[in-house]
Amino acid sequence: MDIIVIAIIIVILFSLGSALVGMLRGGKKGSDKMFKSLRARISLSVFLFVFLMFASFMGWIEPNNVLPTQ
Amino acid sequence: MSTISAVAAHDDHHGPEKGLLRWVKTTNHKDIGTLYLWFAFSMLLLGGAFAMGIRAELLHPGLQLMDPQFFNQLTTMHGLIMVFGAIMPAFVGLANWLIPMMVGAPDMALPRLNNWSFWVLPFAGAILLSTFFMEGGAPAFGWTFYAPLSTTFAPDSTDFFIFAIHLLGFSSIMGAINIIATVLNMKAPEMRLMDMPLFVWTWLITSFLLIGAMPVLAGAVTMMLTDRNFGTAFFDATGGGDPVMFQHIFWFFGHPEVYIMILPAFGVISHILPTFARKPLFGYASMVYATASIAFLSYIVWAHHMFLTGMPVAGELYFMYATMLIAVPTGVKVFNWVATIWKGSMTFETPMLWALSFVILFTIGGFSGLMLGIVPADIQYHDTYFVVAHFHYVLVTGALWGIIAAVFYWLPKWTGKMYNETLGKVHFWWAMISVNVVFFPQHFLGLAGMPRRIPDYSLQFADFNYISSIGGFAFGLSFVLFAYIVVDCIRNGKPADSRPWYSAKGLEWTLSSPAPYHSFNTPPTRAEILEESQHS
Amino acid sequence: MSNQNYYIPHGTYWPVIGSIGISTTFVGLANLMHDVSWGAPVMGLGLTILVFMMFGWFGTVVNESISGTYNKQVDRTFRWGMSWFIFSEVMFFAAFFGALFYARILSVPWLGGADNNMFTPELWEGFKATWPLINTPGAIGQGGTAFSTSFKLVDTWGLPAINTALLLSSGVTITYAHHALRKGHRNALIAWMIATIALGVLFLGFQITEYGHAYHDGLKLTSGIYGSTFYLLTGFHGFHVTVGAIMLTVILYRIQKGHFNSENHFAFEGVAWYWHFVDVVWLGLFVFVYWL
Repeated sequence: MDIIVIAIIIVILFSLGSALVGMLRGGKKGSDKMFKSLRARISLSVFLFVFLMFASFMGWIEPNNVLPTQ
Repeated sequence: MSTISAVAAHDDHHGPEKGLLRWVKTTNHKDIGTLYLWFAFSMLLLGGAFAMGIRAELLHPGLQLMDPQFFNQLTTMHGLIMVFGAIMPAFVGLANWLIPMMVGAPDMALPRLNNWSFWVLPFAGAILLSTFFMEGGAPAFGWTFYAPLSTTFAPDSTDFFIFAIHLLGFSSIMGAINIIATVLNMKAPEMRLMDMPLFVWTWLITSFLLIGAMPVLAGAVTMMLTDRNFGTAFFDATGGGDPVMFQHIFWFFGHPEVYIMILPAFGVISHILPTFARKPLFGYASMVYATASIAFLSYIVWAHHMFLTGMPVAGELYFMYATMLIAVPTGVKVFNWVATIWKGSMTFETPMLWALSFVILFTIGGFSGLMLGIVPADIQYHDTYFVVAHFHYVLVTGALWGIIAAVFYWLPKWTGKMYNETLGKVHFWWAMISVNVVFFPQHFLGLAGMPRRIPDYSLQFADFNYISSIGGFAFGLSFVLFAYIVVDCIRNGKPADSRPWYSAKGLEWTLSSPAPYHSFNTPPTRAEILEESQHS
Repeated sequence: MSNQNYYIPHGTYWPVIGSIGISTTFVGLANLMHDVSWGAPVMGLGLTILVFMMFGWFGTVVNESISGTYNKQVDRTFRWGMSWFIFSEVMFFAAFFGALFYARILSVPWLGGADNNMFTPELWEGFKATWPLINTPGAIGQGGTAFSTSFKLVDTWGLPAINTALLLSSGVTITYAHHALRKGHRNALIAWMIATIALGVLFLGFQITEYGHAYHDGLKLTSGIYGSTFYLLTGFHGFHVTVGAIMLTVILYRIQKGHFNSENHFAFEGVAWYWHFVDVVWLGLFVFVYWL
């Protein structure tokens, strides 16, 4: 489960970086690329948040503020 | 202040403004380069004075002149001033002067930011030096400021040192951003990346190292600050942190920093050798790729400074092999330099002397670095004078040699005057011989087991320390002559041609000497660029 | 021959004023931390100088931008400059995240005797390596007072989740603002911008509340490595949210002045990207501090 979360974060970082490249390029094309990448990154982030809630609800994942029982 | 109708307004500012305030408000890359270089030189003299204090104390065994605490303050400040005050600003100064001329631009890309990058430095330097006059004295934990020496056991002045580091880092990052923007955005439209001179290439790559490494240093000193003042436990094992974590973060900055200080020197040497060997640079493309490889590798070898911290063996092996790997691109560069001068029609003007001795002496420093990179051997060498000898061979006869070579090589372009060649040669031989007298015996001291950063030593080390100190005083004195040569050149030098070195290549030589205030008003053409390019 | 192809500004005093401001701030702060009475006022003076400098400097740049002084090349330079500045910020955060990962993966387990550290537990009898680390070695050792020991952890489903939702919504609203700007829908743009800023400010408010709760429950900067990484990461992030919110407000002001159009709005793009970046950092924080 951790792997999935980390994978989504990596994809988010990638789209954020791609938006940076778009901004760097400038002009119509760069501006389009930037906007699309940012839209992808926010959609993925919202998805990740919802997914965390769902996974927690289903009991697939636990917040780390639950101390391991010793 | 800029006016709104700047397009019309900048028609009338062709020359520098009058008065001393010009230097405060200037946005001109040459003015700022000059400021950087003089700042770096004065810091070099100051850091050198600290080194004289260190060598005077070490002249004889036993405590001679100062108490050990002050000795530690001197070693710490010597390192910090030389690294952050002398070598790095000197290279940024060279970049300011040369990069716009070499890429066919009128100025740096962000001239106001350029001014700020410089004008942060004197303030940071003042804060750093003011720690000497504070209660408890200046920081005394070595330039690497390892925790817990710098957290639990350091004087209050350490907080001022931390903020000085923040400011210096800020200056470096802004300077690096400016250089990247200048190289990639201001170069003549007809100039392709693989047409760029090597000094530009090496500085571009150095800028990426700066932007990647300096913020990590800022993070490290920030954690130091909170550990010291707000009770956090980053570097304190009793709170779950780890002093060794500090070393990891520090050297993640520190190792790229080493290459930040040497890569631009590589660029300088790659300009000087072809000029005086009257041959094109051998293997231009491989030089570029080798520089990029060194930069990449420099990010993944940091823990070879930490072999004795009790790292897992797998980690030690990895960092050892990765370190060995750096010898490959560095070897490519050294062999390319040798191939460049091979069968060349060499003449030995002062810049060439510095460049040739760079190749030899830097290679010595590189080899002793390889010795230090071998884990089992490093257990013997670690924290001995062998390490001191090693990094002075790469930083003094490497980085500083590159800077001095660059100063002699481009001085005619900067000032429009020729320096005194005889004095230049006298200075070279004086410095070259004395620097080896200082640092070569330190190899033997280290192999015999003399630890670094100590004010006193046992008797068997006395002879070599005596020799080293005498060489140190001679080497320190040579910089007085250096200052005289430069001032003499500015005041009394004979007028220099626009291309004072026969067969020198580069767009900067197409400009008049001294170079005009705004370097290129119209970008050079493709033909001009190819004519002046380093690849044949 | 004039520099028609290039733009080179005149001399300026703003940088040196900035240097005076920033060093005054630092000298004041250092003295404040050493309980020197004049530390706070000097720091305040320094910050005032800095704010004055920013207004002056950015004002000059904005004026030059509106008056059409800048060409395509200057625009590209700003883009490069902003991008690499942000990259340096990424590396700054990387140092703190690095500290978090190092503590969790290496130093805390090592203190508990993992790998080749079999003798470490001898130093602190009864120490168990857990994450979050509540019983620090210092708190259970002989002295027993080095780093305070009992704190309640912040409930992930309380304020942190709410804050994540808030900041993510602000990411959504700024995306809509971006879209509106590109389509030239001015009123929608202003509305979405106001929503973004409001969400950002709300986030900061909740963050302060959360600090209050955490402090009340005993989680402090002095609570060992967990408190250290928690407060430094979130605090540093909060500082960036503050800066981002200020920049968004400036952009909103400039939108109302009519400085941007659907083609030419680099300042907006830069700030929008910065906001997205701050948002992603929070997501990383949320996942790595509260979940994994």
